Order: sequence, then C-alpha cells, then structure tokens
Amino acid sequence: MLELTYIAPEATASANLAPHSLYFNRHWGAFFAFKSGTAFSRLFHDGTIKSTSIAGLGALRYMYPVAGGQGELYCCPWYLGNYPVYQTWPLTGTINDTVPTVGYLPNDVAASESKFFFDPARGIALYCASSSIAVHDAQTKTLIRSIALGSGTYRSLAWAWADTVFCADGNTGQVRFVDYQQGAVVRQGRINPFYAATFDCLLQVIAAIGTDYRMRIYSLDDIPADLSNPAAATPLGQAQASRLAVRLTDEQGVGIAAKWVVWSLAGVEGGPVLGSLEKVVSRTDADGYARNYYFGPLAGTGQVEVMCEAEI
Amino acid sequence: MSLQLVKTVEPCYDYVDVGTCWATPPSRWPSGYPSYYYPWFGSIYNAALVTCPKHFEEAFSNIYHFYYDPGSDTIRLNPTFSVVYWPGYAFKSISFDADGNYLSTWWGNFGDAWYQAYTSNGSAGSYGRIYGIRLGKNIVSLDPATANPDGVYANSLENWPGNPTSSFIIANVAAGYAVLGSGASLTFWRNIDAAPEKFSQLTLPFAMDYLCYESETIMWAIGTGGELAKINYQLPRLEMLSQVHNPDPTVQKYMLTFDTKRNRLVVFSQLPDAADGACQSKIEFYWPVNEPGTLTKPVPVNALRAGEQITFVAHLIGDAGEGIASALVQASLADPAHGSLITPQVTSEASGRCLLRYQAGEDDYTDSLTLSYEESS
Repeated sequence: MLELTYIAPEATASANLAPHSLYFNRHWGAFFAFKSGTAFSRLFHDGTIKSTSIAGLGALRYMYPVAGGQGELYCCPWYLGNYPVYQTWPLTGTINDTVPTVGYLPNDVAASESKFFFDPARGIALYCASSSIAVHDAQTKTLIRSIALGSGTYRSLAWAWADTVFCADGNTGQVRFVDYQQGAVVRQGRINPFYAATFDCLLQVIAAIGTDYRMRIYSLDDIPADLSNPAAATPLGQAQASRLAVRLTDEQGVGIAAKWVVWSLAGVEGGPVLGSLEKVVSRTDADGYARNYYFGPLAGTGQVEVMCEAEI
Repeated sequence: MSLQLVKTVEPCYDYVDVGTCWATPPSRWPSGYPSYYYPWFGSIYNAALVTCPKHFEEAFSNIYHFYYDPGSDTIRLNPTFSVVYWPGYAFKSISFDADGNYLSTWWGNFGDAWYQAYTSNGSAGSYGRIYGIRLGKNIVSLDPATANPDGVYANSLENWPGNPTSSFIIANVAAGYAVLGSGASLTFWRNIDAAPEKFSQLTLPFAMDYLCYESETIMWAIGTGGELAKINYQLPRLEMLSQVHNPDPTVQKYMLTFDTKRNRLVVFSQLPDAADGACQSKIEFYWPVNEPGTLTKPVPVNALRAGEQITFVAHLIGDAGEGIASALVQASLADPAHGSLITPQVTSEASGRCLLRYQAGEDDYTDSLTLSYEESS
C-alpha cells in the first residue's frame, strides 16, 4: 500500500467530475477535473475545486483530453477523423489549433478518454486496453510493442518520469508504473479504490478522488509490512559464494521497491563469525527483492546467522 | 489579483427632456419646441419616446464605441440615438471627464452617423490613438472626438492569411500586434504592418461584449455576463479572471476601457431606460488590485515520519481559480511546536503554488500548521 499522506475532510463536488477524468497540469501545478469531457475546472491537492461559471476556463467540446508530455495536456478532436492530437494552451487547456497536429492516436480511440498518453518527444502514443498498454508510432499508428500490466482494468495514464507512465485500476486501486521504452512494469503498488486518479509529476505524488469523492494524496513511499528471512539460492559452503535474497513486502504481499536493506552476520551461540558478505547494504528491486552474496570461509565449519534490517 | 470597485456614476448621462408627454402623440410638433424639431414638416418620429409616461427626446439605440482618449484625458461614449425629430436617429459623441462626470456632447451629421454604424469597438492603442474595426474587415484609426475614420491607419484583414473577420479588435500598431475577437475566441496577430501572422489564439470562458487596450502587452475583455479577463496578448495568456461588481442580468451591453493615466478600468453598462424613459446606464471604475481569494490547505506530499523533512504544497488562488504569483505566504506552528519549519515563509510561484518544508521531531506528537499570506504589492 502506498502511503496516504492526505485525505480531504470533505467530498469534492462530484457533479463537476466525470469518472476517470482527472489530469495534471504542470503549468498550474494542479489538476484539471473534467465533466463529461466537455467542461473542466481546477482541482487542487486539498480538494478545493473552482468550477464557477467564470472559472470554467474553457472547454474541450467534442474532444478527448489526452495526457502527455511532462504533465502537459493534449486533446483529440475525434470528430475530425483519423484522431489527430493537438496541443492545448497552457493556462486554459483549450485547443491550440494554430500549430499543426503533433501526431495521431491509434484507432482504438473510440474506447473512451483517460486511456491515452501522448509523448511528443518520442513520437509515440499509448493506449491502455485494460490489462495492457499498446505503444504506437504517433505518425504511422504502427504498433511498436504491447506491455502486459496483469489482470485489471487500468487507465488514468499520466506522465510519471522519463519514459515512464502511471496507470491505475480504479476498482482495485492497483497502480503500475510502466517504462514504455523498455516495455516493462518498473514499479507497482496499491492505493484505495478510486473514482478518478492521476499523477503529479512535479511532486511525484498520486492524486485520487476516492469512491467517497474525497481527495487523497499518496506518496510513493510504500508502507512495509514484512521482511522475509534471507534465502540462499545456492547452499552456503566452504570457499564458495552463495547468492542471498530477502523480500520486502507491503500488507498485500506486494514487493516494495527502492528501500535499503542492511545486512550483517553473527556467530551462533557465541561462536565465531564465519565468512563474509559482499555488501553491507543493498536496495530492493521492483519486486521488493534485495540481494547479496555470502562468501564461505576458506577453512573451518560451523554455523553463521545472516541478519537483515530494512531501513524505513 | 482582483478588481476593487472605486466609484459608480449612475446614471452617467441624462437624456434631453422634452418636458411634455402625450397619451397619443400628435403627428407633428406643435409650436414652442426647439427649432431643430421643425425641419421639413416637423413630424414626430419615434413617438413612443414621448408617449406618457415617457418624455425624453432621445434614447440610446446602438453604442458603437467606448474609449479613454489619452490626448484629451476624457472618456468617450459614441452612441446612435433614436430621436423624436427628423430623421428619427442621430449620432452624438458624449465626453466625460476621467471620473465619469458628463462634460459635453458633440453632434454628428448624417455622414457621421453612417460612419458610426460602420465602425465599432474603438479602443486606445499605440501612438495614443483610437483604433476600431470597420465592417469587421479593416483596422481603422478613429478621430477621438468624432469616432470617424481619420485615415491615419488602415489595414485590410482581407489581405491577411485566412482572411479573418472580426467583431472586436485591439490594434497595437507601433509594436505590430493586433488582437481580433469574435464570440469567445481571440486570435493574436503580429507583424501586422508587413506580413500579418496569426501566432496564437485563446478561447475565453465567456462570450465577449468588448475589448480594450491597456498597454503594449496587456488588454482586457468583458463578457456578456460582466465577466472580466486580463490578458497578456504577447505571450499570450490569461492573467486574471474576475467579474464586475454585482452583475445585473438586465444589462444590455457591457463596454470597457482602461484609463492609462490613472491605471484603472472603466466599465460602461447599458441598462434599460426607466419607465419614464430616463437613462439608467452607468459607468463604474475599478482598480486592479492584488486580492488573493483562497489559500488551499497545506498538503503533505511525503510520508509524515519522525525525523523526516516533510514537504507541504498549497496554492494561493484568486476567485476564479487563477494562480496568484509573488505573494508572501507565511507558515506558523501552533504552540507547543514539536517540529520546526525549515521555510517559515515562501513566495508563491507563477501558478500560485507554494512549497513549504517542515522538519519533523523524533517522538510521536501532533503539530498544527497554519498558512497565511500578505500581498506583495
């Protein structure tokens, strides 16, 4: 479970929001909240929403909003056919058709909004089809690769960091960070089931409107629940190297990445410390595993205790 | 930034009183009225204007321009009137001092009325001149006193790429910028003297009633519902959204201009005439002032753990949700404080975002963080 750092005391006005229609705008440092893909309002981290008549700030009528760039908003006027992608004006979010289209979405566009991501630098468009992400060339629409996400209904694509998008399943709260260049899930976690969610790439936090319509902010700090016992891939032995691993997991058993694990050896029942470790500390990978090598003593036999602590 | 109402002049103009009304007006003027009532056969035109209880010789018909003339330091309102004498309409240019007090009326002839009907939306621009739009196709320079085209500058939009037409215009001739407006859409042009280039556009969140010039970078727009937008037309971007004080749904038309000498916005509201036909239209003056509306609650964006440095985000926003930049935001901890503030004060970013840092203590405790702001100017 990712760490919930804030929950708004009151519900955000749900009448102003369509499900899954939340987008981060780096120019505002805050969010767009769309209503049925036509009008939008500003939504802030604490749940404050500005959606009065003069704060509508524009509309994307007959267009899909498309997350893209590095916290930018693009839009797709689908009625034009061939699903072109245009920039929007930074402040208002309205279509900027004074410059040519920057690319095209794949033809699956009829599915719905919040399932697309457009990367103008790479010239690619992503389409999230529930349990996988299809990466397309944004000019030719050619499928470049497909990335499996695991079971679920993922959407809410948003820029996270270089070549990596955020996506999440509102039913389960499962979160995936996907490197679309490498074609791999590089990080995963879970938040509470939600109504709409997106990622603030400036502060590196997840913003979600829960099923109770309250705004929630999650940091990328997982809450560890368990550190497994060290396991050896190969038996420990005299004058040999053995690969060790421990796994740090949350309460759901999901591995927690990017945490430091401190390794140490101790003698058993007052005996000597036999052998040595390659590292004193190692960092957990995307699946929560931290790895190390144990080097057995050149001579002698006995028992040794391998101990690990996760630094939280 | 917000707008502070400074003054209202209401009504701003008094129609000329005939002094008489009839339940059924005669077809011709009886004797004893001003001489200009008697050209040709002395017929009564627009008899409704003197049908009891109405008793004025004129009423606003269309209002084509409203602008501040920096040369004479006056505000000009250029309406055509329905009048009770031949030929039933008239053009007058009404001047007010900078505080909205009526000064004088200049009567135009038929040609002036013609010009008036074919030019519109005059606004001050560069060189201290007034620029308007003629037939939606030409930028014309207007004589400030008469609003007639004076031929100093004319630029046919028909020669521009895309052959744009326009209902509203801001012409900044010296800097080469022009802004064309229609409905809720603004298009921004540059290099208008040589090879006009549309470099950007903006859709306002309201339908426009009028535009006005403030400077070589700033303009204003007013909407049909009294919405106000401050716009940087060189970037371009919306700088502020606001509204007139107590928007009145009966207003028929809003117009605005910017008094560049006193740095204040002047709004004209055309209101329906009173039951006796008296003018009820008004002029309001606004100061653009920094008046942030809301400071959102500080939200921690990383884990609240003992000994950690915690970052909080908040936004300082105006009434319309616009970011308020460069305001000093101060943080304080309620006593007894266990942690400490690393940044007890910050300046809001261009988006209005504020990031504050807090050093958590080592024990379990509760601290209360409060934010406040003060205006930077």
